[in-house]
Amino acid sequence: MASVAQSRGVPFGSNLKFVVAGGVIALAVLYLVTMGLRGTTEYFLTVSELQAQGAAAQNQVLRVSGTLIPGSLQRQDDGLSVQFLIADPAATTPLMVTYRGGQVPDTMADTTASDVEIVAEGKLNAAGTFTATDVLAKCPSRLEDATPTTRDYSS
Amino acid sequence: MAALGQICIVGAFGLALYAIVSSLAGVRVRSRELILSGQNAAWGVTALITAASLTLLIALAVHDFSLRYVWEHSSRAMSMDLVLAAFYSGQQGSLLYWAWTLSIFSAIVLWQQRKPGPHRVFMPYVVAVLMVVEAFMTLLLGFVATPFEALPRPPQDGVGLNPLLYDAGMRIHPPMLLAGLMSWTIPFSFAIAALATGKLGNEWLALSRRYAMVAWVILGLGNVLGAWWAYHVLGWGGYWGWDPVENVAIMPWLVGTAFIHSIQMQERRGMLKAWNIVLIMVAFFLSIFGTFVVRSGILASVHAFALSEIGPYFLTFLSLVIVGSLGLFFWRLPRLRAENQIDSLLSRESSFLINNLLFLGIAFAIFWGTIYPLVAEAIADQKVSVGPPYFKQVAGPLLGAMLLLMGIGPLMPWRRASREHLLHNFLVPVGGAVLGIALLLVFGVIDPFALLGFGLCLFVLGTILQEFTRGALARHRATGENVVLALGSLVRRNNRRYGGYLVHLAILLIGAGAVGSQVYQLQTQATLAPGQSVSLGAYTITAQGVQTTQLSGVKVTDGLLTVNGTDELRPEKQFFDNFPQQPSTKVGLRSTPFEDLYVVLSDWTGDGPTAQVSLAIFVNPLVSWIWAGGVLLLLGTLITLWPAPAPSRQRAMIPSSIGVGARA
Repeated sequence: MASVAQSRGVPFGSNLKFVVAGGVIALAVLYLVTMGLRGTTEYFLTVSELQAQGAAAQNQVLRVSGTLIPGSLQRQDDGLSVQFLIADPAATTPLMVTYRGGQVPDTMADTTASDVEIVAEGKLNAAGTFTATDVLAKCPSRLEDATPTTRDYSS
Repeated sequence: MAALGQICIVGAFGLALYAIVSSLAGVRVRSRELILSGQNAAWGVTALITAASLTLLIALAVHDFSLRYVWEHSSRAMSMDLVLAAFYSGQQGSLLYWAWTLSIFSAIVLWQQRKPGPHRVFMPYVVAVLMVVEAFMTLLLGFVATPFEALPRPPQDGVGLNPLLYDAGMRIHPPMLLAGLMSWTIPFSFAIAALATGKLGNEWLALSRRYAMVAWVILGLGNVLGAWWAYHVLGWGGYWGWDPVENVAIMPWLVGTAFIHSIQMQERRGMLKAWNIVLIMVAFFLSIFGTFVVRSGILASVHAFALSEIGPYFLTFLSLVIVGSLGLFFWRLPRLRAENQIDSLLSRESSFLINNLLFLGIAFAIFWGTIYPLVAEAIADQKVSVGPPYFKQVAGPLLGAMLLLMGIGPLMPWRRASREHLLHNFLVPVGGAVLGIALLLVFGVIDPFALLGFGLCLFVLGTILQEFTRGALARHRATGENVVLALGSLVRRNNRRYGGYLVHLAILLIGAGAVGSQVYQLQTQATLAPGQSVSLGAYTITAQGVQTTQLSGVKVTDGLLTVNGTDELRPEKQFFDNFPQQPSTKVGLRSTPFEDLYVVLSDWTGDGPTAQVSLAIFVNPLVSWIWAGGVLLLLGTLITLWPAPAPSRQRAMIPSSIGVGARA
C-alpha cells in the first residue's frame, strides 16, 4: 500500500503539518467571526417595535429606524445638539431623538421630503427619549441604493 | 431614440445567444466556420451594445426627456460632463455600462488572441462564457430594467442628479468600481475553457494572468477612489465605513489577490491547480454578487428584495452559474492533481498557502458580517445590525497577519529555507523594525495598536528596500552601470518581481495611513461667533462669518475661517436649485504629508461677516498616504504588466524614467 503513495510522491505524513497549519488559520478566523458577532451585533428595531418592548429596551445600545417627521429637526441653543422626531406607520406616537454630535446628514435638512429614513444608534432613556450616539440617513436616491426610486411623473 | 436603443439591446441579446450555440456546436462538429461565426457574432454584440450606449449618451447630451431615464437622472442646468456621468448614475444605466465595458473587453480579448496558436482551442469556450454573461445582461436590459423606457408626454426639464453625486469622484469612482467587478469575467472565462477542454496546465494561466491583473488593479483603484469620494463629499471625517456596498466591492478584490499570488505556485511548481480554478470562480461569483447587491438593495433588508425587479433574475443567474461551474470542476477534479508537494513550512510555497488562507479568511469574515443581518432576519426573524466595530475587530488581526506575511513571503526561498538564509534575509529588516519601534517610543507613540501596526510596516519596508538595494548593487557590480541605472534595468528586466514589490509598498502606505488615522484621529465640535477661536491639535481656527454666493444652478455658502492666524479655509455647503432642501457638503481640507485638517460647516445663523458658525473639526493623520498608495498601486501594477524586453535589446530600451519611478 505504501508503494502506491510513494509512486505519486505524496507521502501522507508531510502534508499533515499543512493540514494542521491550515486548520489553525481556519479556526482562528471562525473564532474571530464568532466573537466579533457576539460582541458587536446590535438589535435593529423600528420605532413601533421599540415602543412595543417598553422599558425592557432601556439602557442597551441598539439601532432604531423610522421616517423623519418633516420639519421636526430642531437645533439647540448651543448650536451642536439637535433633536427630531421619527415614526413609522405602526407607531402610536413619534419617537423623540436627541443627538449631540454636530453634523447630521444633509438630507435631514429637507423640510419637505416625507421619505427621509433615519437610523439612529444609541440608548432609550427612562423618559422615553432616544439618546443617539450616531445618526445615519438612508437616502433613497443615493447612487448605490439600487431600488429604483419611482418619482411622480407629472408635467 | 427609445426604439433605436431597444432594438440594439434586443439584437445584442439574440446575437449573444447565437454566439453561444455556434461556438459550442462548432467545437462539437469540428467546424471552423461555426466557431468563426460565433466569434463574429461576439463582435456584433460589441457593436450593438456600443450603439445602444451611444444612443443613451446622445439622448442625455441633447436632453431628450422623452426617455424616462434621461428625465430621472439629468436636467438642463447640469454641465455636460455631469450629464454624461448620469449615464451610469442609475440602475439601468449602470447595468448598460457594465454590459458595454464587458463587450469592449471581450473584443479586446478576441483581438489579442486572433493569431493561430495553441490558445485557439480555448477560444470557443471563452466566447461562449463571455456571451452567456452578456446574454444575461442584455436580457435584463432589454426586458426587465430597460434604460430606454419612453414617457408618453416629454417633460420640459429633468429631475437632475442627486447633489451628493456632484463631485469629481462621482465621475470616476462608480465606473471604475463597476468595470472592476465586470472584468473578473475574462479570467473566469479562461478557467471554464480550461475545464471544458481538459487542458489544465499552465496555458490558461499564462493567458489569463494579465487579464486578472488588469481586473485587480481596476477594482483596487475603484475601491480607493470610493474611499476618496466618501472622504471628500460625505463629511463624516472618515473614508471607509464598512458599508455593505463597500464590503461587496472589496471581497472579490481580496479573493482575486489570493489568485494572483497562488498562480505563481502553479507556474513554478505545478501545485494548487484545483485551488486556482476555485479561486477565480469565487472571485467571479463575488463580482456578480457585488454587482447584484450594489444594484438591487437587498442588503437593506430581505424585504427590499421584493421591491427590486432585477433581484430574482440575478439570484437565478448566480445560482445557475455556480451549479454549472462547480459541476464542471468536479468532473475534471481527477485531472487537477498537483505535480509536487510542499517540502517545508519555512518555504515560499507555504507562505503562499498561508497568504491564500488569510485572504480567503478575511473575505469570508467580511462576507459573513455583511450577510449576517439577512440570515438573522430570515432564520430567527430578528433584525440586527453588524457595524464597523465587528469588521474592525475581525479584519484588524487578520490584516496585521497579512502584513507580516507580506514581509516574510517574498524573502522565503522556494522549497526550503536554511538557517543561514533566514539570518541573511531577516536580520536587517527585523533589526530596523525594532529600532524604528524604539524611536517611535522615544517620540511618544505608546498606543500598542499603533506600535504593532507601524512596527509591521517598518519591517515590511525594510524587506522591500533590502531587495531593491541588493538587486541594484549586484547589477552594479556585474555590469558596471552606475547604481541608479542599475536599479532601473533591474526593474525593467525583472518587472514582475520588482513591480510586485512596488505594489507591496503601495499596500504598506495604505496600511500605515489606516493605522495612523484610526489611532490618532482628533475630533471636536464648536459654535463660533466672528472672532472666536477653537483649538485642535496644532491648529487654532478662528471664525470670520460666512459668505453666500449665487452661481448658475447652485447657491454656495462658505464658512470663512482662518487657521493659525494666517491661512484661509473655506468649508462649504452647496444648495442646488433642483434640490434646495438637500444641501451637499464640501469639506474644508488643509492637507500636509503628515496630517489633514478637515473642517465641515455644520450650520450657521445669520449671514455675512456677523454670522455665527457651527463646525465639526477633525485632524486626520496620514490620510494622504492612502491616496499616495493608490497611485503607487497603479504604477506598480503597470510595471508588472509591461512586456518584458527582448534579451538583445535590453540595455538600449531601459528608459531612465522607470528607474526614477521605482525609487519614488
